[in-house]
Amino acid sequence: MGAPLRTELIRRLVAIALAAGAATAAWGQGAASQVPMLDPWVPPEVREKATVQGSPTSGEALRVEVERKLRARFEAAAGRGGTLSREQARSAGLGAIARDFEAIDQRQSGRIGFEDYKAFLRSRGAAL
Amino acid sequence: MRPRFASRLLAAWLVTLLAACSGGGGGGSTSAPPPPPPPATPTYTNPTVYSSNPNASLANAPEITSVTHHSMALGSATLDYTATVGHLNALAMGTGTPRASFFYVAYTLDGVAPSTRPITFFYNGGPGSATVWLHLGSFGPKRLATGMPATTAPTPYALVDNAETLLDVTDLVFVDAVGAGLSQAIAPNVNQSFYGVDADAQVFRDFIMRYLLANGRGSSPKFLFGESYGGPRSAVLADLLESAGVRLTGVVLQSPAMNYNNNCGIGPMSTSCAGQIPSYGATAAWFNRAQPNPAAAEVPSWLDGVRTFASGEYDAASRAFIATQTPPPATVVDRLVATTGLRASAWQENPNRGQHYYRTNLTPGTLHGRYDTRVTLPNNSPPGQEIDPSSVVIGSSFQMRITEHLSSNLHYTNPSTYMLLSNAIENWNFGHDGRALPDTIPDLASAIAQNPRLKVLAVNGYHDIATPFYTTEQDLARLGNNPNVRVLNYFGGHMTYLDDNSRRLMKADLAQWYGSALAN
Repeated sequence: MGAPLRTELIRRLVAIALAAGAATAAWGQGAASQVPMLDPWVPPEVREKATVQGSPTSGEALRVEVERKLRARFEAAAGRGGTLSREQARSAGLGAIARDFEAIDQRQSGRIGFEDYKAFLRSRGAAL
Repeated sequence: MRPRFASRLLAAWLVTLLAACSGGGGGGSTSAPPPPPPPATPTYTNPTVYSSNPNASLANAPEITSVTHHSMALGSATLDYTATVGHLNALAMGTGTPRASFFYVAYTLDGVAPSTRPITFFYNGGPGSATVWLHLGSFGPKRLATGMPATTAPTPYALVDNAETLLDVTDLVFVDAVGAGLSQAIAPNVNQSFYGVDADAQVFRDFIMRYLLANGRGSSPKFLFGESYGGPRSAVLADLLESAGVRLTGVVLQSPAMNYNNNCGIGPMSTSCAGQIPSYGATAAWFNRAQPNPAAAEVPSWLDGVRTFASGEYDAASRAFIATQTPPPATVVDRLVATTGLRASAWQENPNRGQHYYRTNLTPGTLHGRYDTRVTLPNNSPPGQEIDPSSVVIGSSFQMRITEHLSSNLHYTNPSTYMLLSNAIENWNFGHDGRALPDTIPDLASAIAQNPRLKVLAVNGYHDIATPFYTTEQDLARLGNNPNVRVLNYFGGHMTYLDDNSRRLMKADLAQWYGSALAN
């Protein structure tokens, strides 16, 4: 199933629509009958290169994956120092950290590290 | 007309400026209630031409709205509501630079405080699909009477008041992805700039934040409702929104493809079809081909046994065949025949049969739907080029009626084609978090880690073999025993809401779920 097939499908759908007497749309150039019949779909050349990477993560492995995501985002904003001020969080688009900054910053130092953020999320019920 | 449009454009630019000054729009902060919606306008023609071409971009992206007022009966009540057709720009986080012009249709209930009124953003998938299926098929104030799974309703389907609209529960915003409908990238970006798992979710985030800010909805309870590819989009988007400080109340996943690597129709070539088997069973039962065949009322409980078989004996046999071409045991073949209706030789040759083989071989001379296997057509297609009967029968009506609805009912016209499906899917960057194909369960788990009260509801059709219900169950089971995560299945296909009986059941379930989410 690739682009030629999709083109063929659309050509046929247009033919079916016309055969059924379906009027074309009233706007401007009119509208072709195009139907999202491929969703979900992946181009064959992409599928063929994809490989199964073990079992889908769950439990502890999923927790580790989530922590990795959150840590990467935090550290990208923090840079080499590894800590964030509220303003740094805000300017990096980390609005939730900026919003909850005082609660995260238990030491009231004006700067937080990832472990502070993780501890805050855990205190709110996150399984981290 | 011109002075009114000019003042509207000026107002829109001021909103843009204010949003930019506030750092790209923060949806989580409290906002002053917006002024009442502007009065209804005569037919509004937006002359901007929109294109779905991957390299297309807008030099100027007007932010405009066309507002109409409506009323409908719902049970014994009357719903007065405002429909807003609009173009609104997503602004880059940080710089506030407009990156993409989003087209949306919002239905908002009149006489309710917007700051506490729930709001739900709906989008279809593809990627590359306009949000026409959810807009005109599911829970908007009007829907197309498709009569699915019957194919006898006259076409084009009639647009009727929707007795199952969710407008009594939540405001509804139907928004099109970049390159679909009338949404388009703004220069120097092109549509293709947003054709990827991450880029798409980021620009959706920016649109939603912009919408919330521009409409004073920062403190409204917020929900996402994504279908098919819109499911994985929702997972990535929920993670991004939570991180940006936009707290969500709930996410509805309609027939989602959460993990492309766990669906043998789209995943790596060595993916087991275990997730498909219960859907084949439901299909066989519908056509009285299972042995013994369960009564319709017994199908849901009968499928429990099919799930156990699929994830146990079947999965082991399937994986053995994939790894070493080991033929399946006779007991597995016997059970497959009794469960799916396919002949024994088909399973003996290859126990890992995907959706295409099943729907083209279950009934000789007949083509079953991929989205809804209950819908069939005579199979006159060359091998490998079979269409989807359940998609073909509805497509032209939705294309025609969306155009009509926008112009006749919502008083908005545009010289462009409202693009139901772009070719984004062929140019999409499916890579995400180090995988060639997206697995978005970690994104959903990350959203939940940031907001442990987040409610997640997946709704699936038993007869959908594009995104099988059991695959979704397996995917969401990875989140562990979380009472905020739920899966509900209905008779029907990918678009369960097209089935009249299932849509009624869904409305009742969704109303209850929204209530529980709001109280969570």
